[in-house]
Amino acid sequence: MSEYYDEEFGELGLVIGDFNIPQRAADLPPQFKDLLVPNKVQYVFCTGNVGNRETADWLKTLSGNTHFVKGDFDEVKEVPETKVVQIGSWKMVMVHGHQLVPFGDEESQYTFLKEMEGDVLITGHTGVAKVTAVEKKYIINPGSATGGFNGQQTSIPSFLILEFKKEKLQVFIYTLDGEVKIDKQELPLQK
Amino acid sequence: MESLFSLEYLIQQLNTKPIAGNTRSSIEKFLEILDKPKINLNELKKLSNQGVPDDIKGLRSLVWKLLLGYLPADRTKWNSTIKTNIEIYEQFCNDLIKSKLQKQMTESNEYEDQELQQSKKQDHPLSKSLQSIWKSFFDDQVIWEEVEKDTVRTRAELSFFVSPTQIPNKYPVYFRTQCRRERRLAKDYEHRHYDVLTRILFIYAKLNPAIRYVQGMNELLAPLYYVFYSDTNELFLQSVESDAFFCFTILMSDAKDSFLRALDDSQDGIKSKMNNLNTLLRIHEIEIWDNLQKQGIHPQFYSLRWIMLYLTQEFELHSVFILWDSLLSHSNKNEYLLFLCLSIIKELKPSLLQDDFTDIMEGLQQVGKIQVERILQITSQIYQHN
Repeated sequence: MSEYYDEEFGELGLVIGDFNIPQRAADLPPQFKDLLVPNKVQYVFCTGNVGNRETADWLKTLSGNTHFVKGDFDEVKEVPETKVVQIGSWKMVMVHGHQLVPFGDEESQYTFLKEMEGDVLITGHTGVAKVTAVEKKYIINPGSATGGFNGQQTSIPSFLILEFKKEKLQVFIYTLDGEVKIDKQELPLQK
Repeated sequence: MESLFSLEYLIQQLNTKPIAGNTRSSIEKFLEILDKPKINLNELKKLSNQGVPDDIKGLRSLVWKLLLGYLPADRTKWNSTIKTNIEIYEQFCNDLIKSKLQKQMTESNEYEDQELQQSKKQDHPLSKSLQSIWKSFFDDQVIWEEVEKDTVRTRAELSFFVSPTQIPNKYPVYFRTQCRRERRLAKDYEHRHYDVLTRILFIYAKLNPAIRYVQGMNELLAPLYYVFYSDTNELFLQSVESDAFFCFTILMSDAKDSFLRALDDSQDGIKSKMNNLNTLLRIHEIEIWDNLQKQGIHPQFYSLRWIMLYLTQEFELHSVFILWDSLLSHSNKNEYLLFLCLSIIKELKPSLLQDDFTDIMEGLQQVGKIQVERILQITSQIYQHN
């Protein structure tokens, strides 16, 4: 009975980060606030650089399972640099990304993921939403939720919704470019 | 030509169990009425009004099904009625409890509409669009969760509802609620009685969107389900869930006005019912009425729950069964209910004539100590039914 259940309806996870509220952005875009309501996702994966306590608290209201990793601007003590979360058949590894040099480099990201023996790397820091397949693993980046990810540039606000199934991961990429656009990608589990 | 439903399972119990004299003759009277090709419902109602003995498993279950009009008086039609209803209920479950995948598949079969195909492609988990399958799934999940919150703690004083049912489950549950997640983590994959209650109330909510699910409806379902499960007849043991669903629906046709917020102020709503009881009180027991007024004890402080939940919360379950034996035997249940309440008030007279608000409120908490047989006795004296 439990097996059947996993296949039919996947659990949902929100992947989001690099808010930098209020330092680099006043608030989450209203269109995103409208979409992100409690009790729809089972997990929240935050890549870091939340900015203020209120935003972190708001994230915790969205689901019962919120996972945070530390960004370079986060001043919270209890948050780890990296985190591993197992969701069904998927081993998710989280790291903000400022620790991996060169920034946004796929090879260094892949090496890190391989060392951690994970299936999917959840990482941020670059401010650009991206979903990449490398060898049999995946690197996913939700971009910046507010568009304010560092001092020099702004980017298009974005986040990801993941639908976990036994043999695949459905990724929904939400971007705000005038209006909310949603792209989908299906990632089969390869081991 | 259908055969006569066999009552052997009841008769056999009478012949093998040690049963006291008066109970035995009462049971014999019931069997005399039931063991006919066509049941005289008026006679059954008269007898049931005094209570149905529970020494014979399945007797009350059968009587209630007849009193509610679920089973017809024609005994040759019972088998087909039960079997047809099993099928209908199963159809409801298959149609209304769908996984996201099933919803997608259904819609693509029904509609070749271009527009719909387009919106399906654009569908996503956070969608608020009315065509969104995700939204429809989440809306269902909300209902399921509302129901589940109550069913898991139905009659918590008993172990029955939290125990696993012996009847295997045919319907997978696709919803991810807090409760189900916790059960999964604890590796609890059992199908428990409260899971059946949840499903019944979910189906009712989906079929009756004007009322959906309101807290307390689980308390009206619980006695029906418990009684139907306590049967020994082979067919009835297969049909427990569908019978409980249909009988609950029948009962709700009388009870639902109390649950509808929109009717609160109307002449069918709960406020009006409480006022009617209060009026009866003034007519029959002016002394009590007067004192309660004086002390500021409003009807909603005590009678709201009595009326809305058909007295299920005031007594232990087996006493509720006896009250319902009588209640279900009356065609105007709402009216008869008020007289049951009036009898309760009469029994509490000494407490209710006290001159302290707190003492009176404490007195009103003692309803459960009254013998239900006494309540029925008083009610039979005061209830004039046309």
